Amino acid sequence: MIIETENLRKIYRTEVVETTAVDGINFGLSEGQFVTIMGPSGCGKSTLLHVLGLIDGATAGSYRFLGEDVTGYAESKRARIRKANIGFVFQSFNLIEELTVFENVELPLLYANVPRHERRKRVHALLERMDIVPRADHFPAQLSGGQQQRVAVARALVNKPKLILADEPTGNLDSEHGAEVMRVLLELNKEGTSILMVTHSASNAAFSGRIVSLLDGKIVADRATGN
Amino acid sequence: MRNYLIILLRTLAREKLYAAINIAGLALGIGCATILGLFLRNELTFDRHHLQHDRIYRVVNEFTVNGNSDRFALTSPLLGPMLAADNPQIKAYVRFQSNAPADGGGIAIHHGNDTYYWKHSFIVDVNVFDVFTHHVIYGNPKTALQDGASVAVSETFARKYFGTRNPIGQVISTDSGTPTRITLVFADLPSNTHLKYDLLFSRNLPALRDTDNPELRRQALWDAGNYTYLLVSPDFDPKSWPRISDEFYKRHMESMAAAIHGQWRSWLQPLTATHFQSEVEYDEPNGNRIYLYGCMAIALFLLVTACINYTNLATARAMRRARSIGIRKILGASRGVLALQFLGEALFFALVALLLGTLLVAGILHLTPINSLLGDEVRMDLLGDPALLLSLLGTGLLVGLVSGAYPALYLSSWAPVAAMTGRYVPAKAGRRVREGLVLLQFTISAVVIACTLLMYAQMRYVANKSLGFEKENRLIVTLRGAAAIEKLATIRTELGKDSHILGLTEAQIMLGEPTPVNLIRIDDNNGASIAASMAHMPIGKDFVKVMGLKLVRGRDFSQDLLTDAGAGFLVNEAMVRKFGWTEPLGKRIRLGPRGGKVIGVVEDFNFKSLHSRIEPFAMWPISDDFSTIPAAARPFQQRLLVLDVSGTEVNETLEYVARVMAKIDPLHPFEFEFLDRQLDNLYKTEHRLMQLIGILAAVCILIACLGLFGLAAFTTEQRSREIATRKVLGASAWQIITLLSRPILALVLVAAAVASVLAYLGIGEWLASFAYRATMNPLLFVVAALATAAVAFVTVALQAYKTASSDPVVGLREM
Repeated sequence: MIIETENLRKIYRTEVVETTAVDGINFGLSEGQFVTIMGPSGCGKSTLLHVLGLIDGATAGSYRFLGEDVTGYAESKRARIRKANIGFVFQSFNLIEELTVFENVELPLLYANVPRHERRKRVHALLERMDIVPRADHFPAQLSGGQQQRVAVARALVNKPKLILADEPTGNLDSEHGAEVMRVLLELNKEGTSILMVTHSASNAAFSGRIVSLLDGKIVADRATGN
Repeated sequence: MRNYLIILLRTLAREKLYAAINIAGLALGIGCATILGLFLRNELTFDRHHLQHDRIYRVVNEFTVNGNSDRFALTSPLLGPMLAADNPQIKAYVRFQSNAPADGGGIAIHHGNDTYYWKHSFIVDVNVFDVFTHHVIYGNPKTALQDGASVAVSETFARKYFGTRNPIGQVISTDSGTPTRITLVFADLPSNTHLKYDLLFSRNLPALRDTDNPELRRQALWDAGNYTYLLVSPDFDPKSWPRISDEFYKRHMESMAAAIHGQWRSWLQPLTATHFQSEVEYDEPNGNRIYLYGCMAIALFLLVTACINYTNLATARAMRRARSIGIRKILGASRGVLALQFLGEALFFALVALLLGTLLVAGILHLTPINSLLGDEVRMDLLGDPALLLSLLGTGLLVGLVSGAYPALYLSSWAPVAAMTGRYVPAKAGRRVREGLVLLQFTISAVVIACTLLMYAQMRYVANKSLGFEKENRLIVTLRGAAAIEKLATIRTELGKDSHILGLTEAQIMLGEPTPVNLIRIDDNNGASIAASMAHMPIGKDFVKVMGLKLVRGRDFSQDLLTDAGAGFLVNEAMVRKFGWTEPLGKRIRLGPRGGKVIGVVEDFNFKSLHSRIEPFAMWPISDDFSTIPAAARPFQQRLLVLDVSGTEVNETLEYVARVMAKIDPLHPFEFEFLDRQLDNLYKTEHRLMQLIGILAAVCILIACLGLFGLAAFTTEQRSREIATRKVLGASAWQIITLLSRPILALVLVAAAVASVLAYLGIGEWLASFAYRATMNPLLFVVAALATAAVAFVTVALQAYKTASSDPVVGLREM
């Protein structure tokens, strides 16, 4: 199992209000699975994704990632696990504006202290795979939405993660580019990469093998799609 | 590293305003702090160019007569040789006796048809070059002054008369006409030399030989006319000096001390400390530690203000960078890596600013009269001064580290998801820190503004205060040589023909110059003769009238009463109070060979600068009878004519006076000065300091405003949606401006209140150097506060107006 949670909770507290975004989630993700989390706006899907992706900590409950109990880990420890095992694809791409396409994809390798020669090799390979080599020296502002998302996918893959987390990966794309991105994700899953995706889109969800429905921070349904 | 640098340069290219503000602020701060640092270094390294500086001391002494003490930098000419004879640890002594006139006009040096006046001229012992280090251009320092008719001159002197020619062997003369041969030329002394000179005449003359007569030697020890320097052995312990001085006093001076109810003591000043030892009279112009501390504080303020700018701007623009920071963290950047990145940015800015700041310094030093403002010769020679280069680099690095530390820690601390998703809400602590830094910046600026205003008020008070005598329209003309002085009657007649000349008198020294202080015998209130010391000066006919002094008792000197000429004294009210005279008229005073009675009392007047309280003072009639003085001394007699001129057609009056004087004394170029300008020179240092602090106040506030402008830009950008909404709901541009300015103004007013207290405390120390002070008007603090607030308001308003007057849809589009 890659992910195992038990009674996972995430509560946001301000001076006046307490909001339970994730409320007692028991969830598991096996290797090679492609799982979609769906639900209405504000149901806690993105929050759950962030907690499972170790970019946010849980308030209560337990979480095991690749067999390691990561509950209560500080950000520095989470970062260590994250950069070695998880790739992220966001709705708004989150490319860094002042870096070129090449440099954006290279960034995770820099943080992982990969040698220069190796970095160049891996980045080139991914740019080729995503068919954006001619844009390697361009800045994000010079790319279309689809191209930006392909760069984001390349960046997510460059460290050869075991798991990809995709938060509304086609939310800012037109149908053609959106379908293109979903095809890439499916390909990756067939190659063995586990994928956990959050989406509103039923057609996107159909690409996955399992759909988990969330409502008010709780899992209300968890079914296989037959894919 | 290369990657970070490339990214940084790209970021700067996109945020040009931010980059410009930061670099400008840091460059200004570093540049001005560097100039002050160079000045400080100059001040703190006085006389260190003398190789033996750590073994050279100046002897200074205190004479006490009847309980009144006077401390002098000058000592008896016999002190050096007699101390050396008694103490083997004293390896050498050098005496410097000024032979320039006491009025500060300079000694006249003739060569052919050229005559110029030189203020810095001394008669010295022949071993001066063995003790003090000089860069000799021509001549042999070992033998240069062996001949009594020889002189060593500075490069400036040599150039003035001889151009680029070697002047060795050339003959010059003073007013005595005695030929003196130039035997050595030395390079001009560095600006950080306490005792400056252009001429060193040999002391090896029969007239200056130390007397062997024991009685005369004992008497001579109570005179003061030489700066005495001692070169001691390497193992000399300065703590032993009180014992040495005490033994000397007991052996050589105590017997005479008993007769005059006197006492004497001495102490040593290390050569490198003489520049700041200002507690003695008759010293060369001193440095002032208060000014130094002030300059140090301001240099620090400037750097701190510039660093605060960077810190504030870096944290303010954090919102723009939040997403980038969040993504980097998600992708695996550790806090340490991010912190180093931001620190690196700060260091980059600091080093670019250092480069620009250094260019700024070079430009200022070469193109502006900053050195006259500092009163010092400040130079920057990076290639020839590795220590300076390293210091500058060190400063740049320090500025970068200090500026970047807080942003590095702050920006790298954010949780990744909150930063990335824009849900990041800056902690109150972050905003409080920024507000605190703005408060500090404007407090500093307000303090400097308040100090400038207070100093201005004091200097205005000094300029306008009645000194008890007339200083306006008083022309001072120097009359050199007995031959010219003996023509005074002719001078009076000729000058009296000009209707613009309303009065004429003479004196030997002018009010405001140091006056002689001598031992006297004086009647106490009961008529018993007691010893005392007294400041005094001889005055000519009509001095009281021409100078506007007010007689309160008795009468002025009369030309008709022969007794006055040799036997009368005018005293001031302070003298009357000091000796408790119920009836001052008729009290006897004996000043050396001159004995007489008090014939009149004048109202107290400030015969010294306003740094000093009015002391007891006496005046006696000048004698222009030179029949008893040696012929050799005749050329060195000097008088100051004081003319009361009408104040209209001044140039014409000057030309007329010059023509008359040229006929009377064709040998000397016409020398004149106006008294009020001469008196202003007493406060030259204060004026310079005031101008300097005024300029620095402007720089401080400029840097603070640069930062405020940048902050305002970010704040308005951050609040653009809110502003757009308010405009849609009906807010006017003015309402938007006040909304954005109010928090800053509140901070600035708090800063001004704090600054007022600090300025009041800080300036007190400087004001204490004046015996007469302006009342501290609280309105000055209000003005300083309002000025600071006004500048801050305009700065913020400029930026706020831009946003306030833009189309609301621009801000709403982001929704």
